Amino acid sequence: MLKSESEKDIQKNTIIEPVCDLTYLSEMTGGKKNMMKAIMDVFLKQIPEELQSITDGIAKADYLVIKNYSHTMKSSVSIMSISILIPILKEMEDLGAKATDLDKIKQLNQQLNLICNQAIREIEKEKLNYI
Amino acid sequence: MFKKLLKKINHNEKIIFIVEDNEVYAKLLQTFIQNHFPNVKEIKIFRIGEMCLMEINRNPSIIIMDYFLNSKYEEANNGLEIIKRIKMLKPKTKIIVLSIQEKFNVAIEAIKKYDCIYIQKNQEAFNKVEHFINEILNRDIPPVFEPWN
Repeated sequence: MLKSESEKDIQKNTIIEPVCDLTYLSEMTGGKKNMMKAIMDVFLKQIPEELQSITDGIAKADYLVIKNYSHTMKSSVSIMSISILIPILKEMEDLGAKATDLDKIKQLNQQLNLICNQAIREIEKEKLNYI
Repeated sequence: MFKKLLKKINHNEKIIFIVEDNEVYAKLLQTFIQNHFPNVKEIKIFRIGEMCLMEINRNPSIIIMDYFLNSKYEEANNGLEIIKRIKMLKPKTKIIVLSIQEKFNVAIEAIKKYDCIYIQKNQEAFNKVEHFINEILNRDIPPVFEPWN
């Protein structure tokens, strides 16, 4: 099966294109910069916590934690329109629900962390325009 | 004009509860509702359904809740359990249920049984929430009596 450029980039541990699109956030906040910044702050606090919970869940082979946090992260990342993460999180949630294939979950978690870290960098940079 | 004024007065007394364990999603939804309904008195966020039940006597006009309320707090009740308890205590409360789940048919049936509105969490979700809030709040406005001729 042919892989998209983004998928190839993820496998090489590099992502060239931006992963976030703040159009949706801007629309939903009516473009109010202080509101956008407040939500970015919550996002920047929340995402590392969610990633840590998934990593802890993997270390303990706790599939319920993996399923639940993959599920809730779909809502978190959709706010910043990080659409590249949705299929990864869906697969992690499905595998968590089936309590199977921890190796595949670990692999997906690496991609998840890589993309989230890039998203965090992008949002931290973007936030400077809102001060 | 008179109807508009009534609407404003009416919304000033309204309270909306959001029950959502995803903080960033809850915050964005709260901001969105504040922007679109500036006259609503209070929009309060609860992380778990049980906390919302503790304040149910404040008679919120609308409760907007996520269906999966136990993704971060395993001990918390899920959406359906909370809906049942809200409806038992305050049967007239309007409830809007949100979920990102696509394969959700069984739960949708259960939700409808309790007269709730179901909205899938996607990029259109907030606009649908706005539509239903408008419908619910405006439905509560007392009728304007035409003067006798």
